[in-house]
Amino acid sequence: MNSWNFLSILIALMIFLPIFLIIYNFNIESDNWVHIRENLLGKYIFSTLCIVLGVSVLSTIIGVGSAWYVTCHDFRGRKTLEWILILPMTIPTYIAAYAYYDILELLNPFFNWFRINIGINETMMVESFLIYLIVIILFSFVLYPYVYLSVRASLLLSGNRLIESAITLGLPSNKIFKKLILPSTKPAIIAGLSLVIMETLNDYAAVEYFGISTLTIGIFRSWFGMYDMASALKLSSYLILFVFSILITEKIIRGKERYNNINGSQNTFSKIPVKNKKIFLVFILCFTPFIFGFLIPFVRLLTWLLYSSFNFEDMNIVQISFNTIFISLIASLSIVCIAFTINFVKNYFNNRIVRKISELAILGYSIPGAIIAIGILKLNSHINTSFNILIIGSVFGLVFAYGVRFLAVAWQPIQSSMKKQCASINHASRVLSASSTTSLFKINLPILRKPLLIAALIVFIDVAKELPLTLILRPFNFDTLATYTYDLINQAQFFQSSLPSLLIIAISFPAIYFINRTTRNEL
Amino acid sequence: MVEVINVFKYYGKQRVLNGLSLSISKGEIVSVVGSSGSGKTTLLRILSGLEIPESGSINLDDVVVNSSDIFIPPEKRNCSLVFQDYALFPNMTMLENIYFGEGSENNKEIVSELIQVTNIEKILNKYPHECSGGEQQRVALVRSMATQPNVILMDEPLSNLDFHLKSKISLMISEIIRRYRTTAIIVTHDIMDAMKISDRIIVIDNGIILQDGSPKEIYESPISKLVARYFGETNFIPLELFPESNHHIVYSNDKEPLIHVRPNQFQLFSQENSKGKLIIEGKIKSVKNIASDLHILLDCQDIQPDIYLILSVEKELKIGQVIKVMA
Repeated sequence: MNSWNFLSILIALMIFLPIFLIIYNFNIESDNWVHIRENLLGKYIFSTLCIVLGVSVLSTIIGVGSAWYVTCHDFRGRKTLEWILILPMTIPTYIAAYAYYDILELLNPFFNWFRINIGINETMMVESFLIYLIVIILFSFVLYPYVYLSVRASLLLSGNRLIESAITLGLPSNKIFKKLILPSTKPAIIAGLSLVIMETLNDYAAVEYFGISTLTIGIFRSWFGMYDMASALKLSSYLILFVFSILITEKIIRGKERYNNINGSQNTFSKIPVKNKKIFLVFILCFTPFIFGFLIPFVRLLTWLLYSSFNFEDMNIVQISFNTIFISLIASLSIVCIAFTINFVKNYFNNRIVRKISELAILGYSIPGAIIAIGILKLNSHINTSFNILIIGSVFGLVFAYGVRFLAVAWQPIQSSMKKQCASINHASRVLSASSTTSLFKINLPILRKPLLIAALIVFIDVAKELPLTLILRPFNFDTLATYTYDLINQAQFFQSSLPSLLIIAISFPAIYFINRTTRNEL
Repeated sequence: MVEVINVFKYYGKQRVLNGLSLSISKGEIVSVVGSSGSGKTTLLRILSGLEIPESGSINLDDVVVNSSDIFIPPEKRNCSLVFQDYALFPNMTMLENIYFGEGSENNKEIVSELIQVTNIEKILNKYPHECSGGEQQRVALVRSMATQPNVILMDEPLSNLDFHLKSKISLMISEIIRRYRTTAIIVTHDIMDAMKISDRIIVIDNGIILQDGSPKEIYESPISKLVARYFGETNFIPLELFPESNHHIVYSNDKEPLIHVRPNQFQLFSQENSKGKLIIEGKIKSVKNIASDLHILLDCQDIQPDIYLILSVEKELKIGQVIKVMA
């Protein structure tokens, strides 16, 4: 084994270590566990399942429906919709939740009437049902772009020929959708949906704000409320089990049904014309997710900004913005470097061990930030006992945690581009006796400039928005825009929280525009 | 010299190479022919070091590069590979591509000569995407030869080229390889390409060698129906119907001896040339005029399936007409 392979295995193992520690420590005894298991676990699991199920159904309907109309139909305003439909991605779930914070207050007259005329218990039941419903709708309107983007990409790749052949066979639009588009985009739907589920499971602040006790909330309470690492680890194991079962299901479904990739150029994409009387309806259907997922929260935040009175020196917002950009930049550069190097080694030397271990290292994205934080705390206690070194509470510790969580985010674009663009030329380079360093810097790096930039931007956005991990592991007196927003909301300073929230959106906005434009052109 | 000894290779449970052995002398140009999935590209990748076989050994110029305990990586084999998709580096000009290989800078004279022979002087400062498939193919060939490899391996070198370019490039490849006395192994599914370039053809199927011989030998005396069919349509007639025939004999899967006659070996019967020939009479089932030839399907009662023949005659023949042909 050469030094490249050895280095890659070492890095990948280090990244997997916190996840391994959670699984390994599943059986640690805890005094609180009996109480949690008997009184809370069922509630945590029920809430998690309800939210995940509801969000899955609704985000699939919104994502697939909008992708179908804007990609395969021809109507006025289609191009604008195609772009604005991804904008909800710039808004983290917790910020959207804050923006809709007073929605329940609108229903107060109804609850009052219900309490007086029906009864308190019934009112509470309806209230809690409505809270679940609101959270599901809220999450779906913010997270559907994952399904939308995945299905749109699949349609751009193969939809053209499918639609052309269906039109020539005389199939009406609704039959094309039901009989061709839905089955052929199933793998894309599953891929997008699994991301939606991961993001839903990862959320801490939004569900906490609405008072829903999910497994993630349970982990936070065990650690922050009771300082009970063992219970937090046990709850994390339950969540990991849940995540792994989703990943396995996804793999089985996607393994059986691959993309029906019939070559078709998007330049000649035959779109289905929308009849005049339906144009308005289609436009409204596609515009609604944008309104609820982006426009309303954004406008509300802007309005709050006008009401708030800022004193930049007091709020320290410049320093916090600098912290956010600094930590996001360091994390994205380090993560992209690691993803690029391991992918290169995997592709170039085709080593089986590197291939297998790198698969473990990218599991982090499917595991909620709170769990990763617990794993890193556990790792920290081992390192501290053995070497008397603390990794948490430092920028290094935080960047390492982001690495565990977001390596997969950088991994996917780099891996697919390397496979597509560099597989054959890396072989050519080897048989021409060039050294691996020459191949890395003279061929792979210049060719993959764009995918590397895209990977770095995606990680940058994710780190800038990240909350649970940062909240637990940040260095003392170190705030990011996300944690600062969270703190302000906890102090009920809604107006003041608008500036950091808008800054998070502002940081994400240009990056998402660039990523969308580049990936769209390359399909 | 290249020696492959009892090589096995699996992809999962699928056995791709099944104890394959072969030996190629220095300076020889050998084509490995087979249908897709026959194992020919895997053999090439194993020779170049891009794949590792499960067992068996490989010697290149008397050096063991692959055995149970030895694996020499591709960059140390001095064995270059021309890829089917050419694999030119898109971020480099054609000239930079040519001089990318280790040691190519020391072979400037040879490289200049190669550039001249392949007539690519005008595109040296262009990038791959600015050039045609034929130009890219020639640059890929020069790039591989620029390192002065002991062995050059070529994966379907002509498959992406149109008909006219194919003949031109195949002649050029053959000339260049012979000029520098490089050992060459060319993988192709098209036996006609193989015949144009190589001294020797190896036909493989399911990871084993079916036949190994000169192009003439394989064309005239295929060992089985499968090998015979690589050259296009052909007729197999049971030997028992014409026991006196002196045509080449192949054996069917159940070992039945069959006479092997190609469609263009037939001609209309004439008494004076018929001595020792196989004579068949039948009714014309279909006839089609293609260029100057008549393509005929002949229904002969004793022979199944119908005989396919190509006649170069000016005479008009009609469906239903009974004719006598000989081969």
